[in-house]
Amino acid sequence: MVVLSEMKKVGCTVMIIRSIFYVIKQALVNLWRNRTMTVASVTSVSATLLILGIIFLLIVNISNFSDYASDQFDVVQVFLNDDQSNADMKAIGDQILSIDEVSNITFESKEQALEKMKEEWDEYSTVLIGLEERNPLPNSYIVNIDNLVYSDSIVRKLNQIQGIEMVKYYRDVIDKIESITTFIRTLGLGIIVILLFVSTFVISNTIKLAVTARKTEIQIMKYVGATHWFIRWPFILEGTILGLIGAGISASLIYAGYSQTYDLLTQDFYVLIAAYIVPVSGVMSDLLQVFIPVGAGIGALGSLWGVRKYLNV
Amino acid sequence: MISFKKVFMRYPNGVTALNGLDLEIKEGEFVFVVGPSGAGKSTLIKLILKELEPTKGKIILDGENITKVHRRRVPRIRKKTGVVFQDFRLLPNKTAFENIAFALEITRTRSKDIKPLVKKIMDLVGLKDKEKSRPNELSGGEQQRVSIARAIVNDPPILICDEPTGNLDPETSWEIMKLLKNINKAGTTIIMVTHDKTIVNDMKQRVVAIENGRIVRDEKSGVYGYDN
Repeated sequence: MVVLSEMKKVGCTVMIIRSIFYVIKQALVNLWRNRTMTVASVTSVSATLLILGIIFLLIVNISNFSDYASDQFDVVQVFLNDDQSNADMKAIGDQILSIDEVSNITFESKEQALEKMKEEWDEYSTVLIGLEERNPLPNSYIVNIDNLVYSDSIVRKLNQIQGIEMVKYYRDVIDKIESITTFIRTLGLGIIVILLFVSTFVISNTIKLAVTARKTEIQIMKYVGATHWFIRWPFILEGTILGLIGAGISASLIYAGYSQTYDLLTQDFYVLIAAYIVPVSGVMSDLLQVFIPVGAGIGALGSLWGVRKYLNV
Repeated sequence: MISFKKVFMRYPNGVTALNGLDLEIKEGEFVFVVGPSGAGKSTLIKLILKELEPTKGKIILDGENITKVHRRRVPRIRKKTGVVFQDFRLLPNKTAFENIAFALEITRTRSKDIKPLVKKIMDLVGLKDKEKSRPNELSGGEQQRVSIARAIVNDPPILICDEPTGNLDPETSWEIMKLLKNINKAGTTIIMVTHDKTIVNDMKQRVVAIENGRIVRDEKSGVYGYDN
């Protein structure tokens, strides 16, 4: 058998390069040959990532709203008794500043308070006309705090200072917003984790079907002396490609859907809600950063699971 | 070339397939393995192909102890053996040429070497004009030729044939046997499990009969020795 001994031994590097080409070619050819499976897998990945993406967007927006709301409410305002001299008020300011955790304070006179109110009331501000003479609003200090953890103890200390009429602080509101946000975020992450498991399982089953259809092929590969990894790689690459295509489709759908929704909400009367919505440009790159590794990951992992059973021939 | 020394094989379900089997096969031999169903013939083949590890005993293949080897070494051991099955096991979506080339691709042969090698081997097994035919367009005998070509294209020193004529009519069976004999003449050691009485009796090769996991008969130019 002179013919057969013609086979030459080749260098290791060349073999590796040849293997890489083989793997890529096999993966692409197989994706095409098993078109139905390919479509099924891509659909399942897209569906999963679509739901995942929607939850992701919800979380991003709720977090954004929560941050925004917290900023709005996260102010301690100290209203002063009305009958005090400037010096008294200055002394109170100094006392407030002497509390360790207070970073700085801003004085808001009753005139400034009225101006602010007029601005906020906008077209109804006419009802406030005439109040300049007998301004019922008090002078106040707006107190900024280093760390919100200390807010309760600061409020307690502020209440002990003479000449203060009232300390206004919306800690309860912030707490409520934060606990709701945390709840939604945890729930969302929980759903995402479950979805990831489900879709990996679906992919692994799809790949398993693809592998079952190619059982003979794998068997022959093994009998000819192919290594496990040599058999595995085309499948893993296949899974990864499926995952990435799925990620691409769902990302495009989300992009289209989200920008439509955003455009709709930023029109006229929804404008108040739209102020809290993160624009498309702000989320897409984050979304892709999640989708690409997740899509590729569930694809590859699903393939590994799917092919495992048939390797033990 | 192949040596089994007091090999025992007990399956997890308690069935003892090989019961202290001793067998010595020299390089270039043509050996028929015969025996009733369940005698241990398939187990013998699976042990050579490293699909199984024996419970006890020692197996030497081409000078290498393969009794217990790490999973990673198995592919290298398998390159020493070619396998032909009763049901051909060809890939239906590949042409005859591609089916044979597949074995070369897996062993990472240079792509420019693949074509001439496959052409020559197809010539050798008598499939010159069937390159582009898919398995369903080939007769049983032709399919088995493709399967044999695939098994020997990497030039393994040993060829294992598991009832290669089991699905073929007598005339085609003879053609396949002639081909196998030619391959054997060129130096490949052949171990063939068969139930084909006529073939064994007419070929006049070494016959090893297995019953209950032991060799009960080993004749240089033997006969089938069973009724069916």
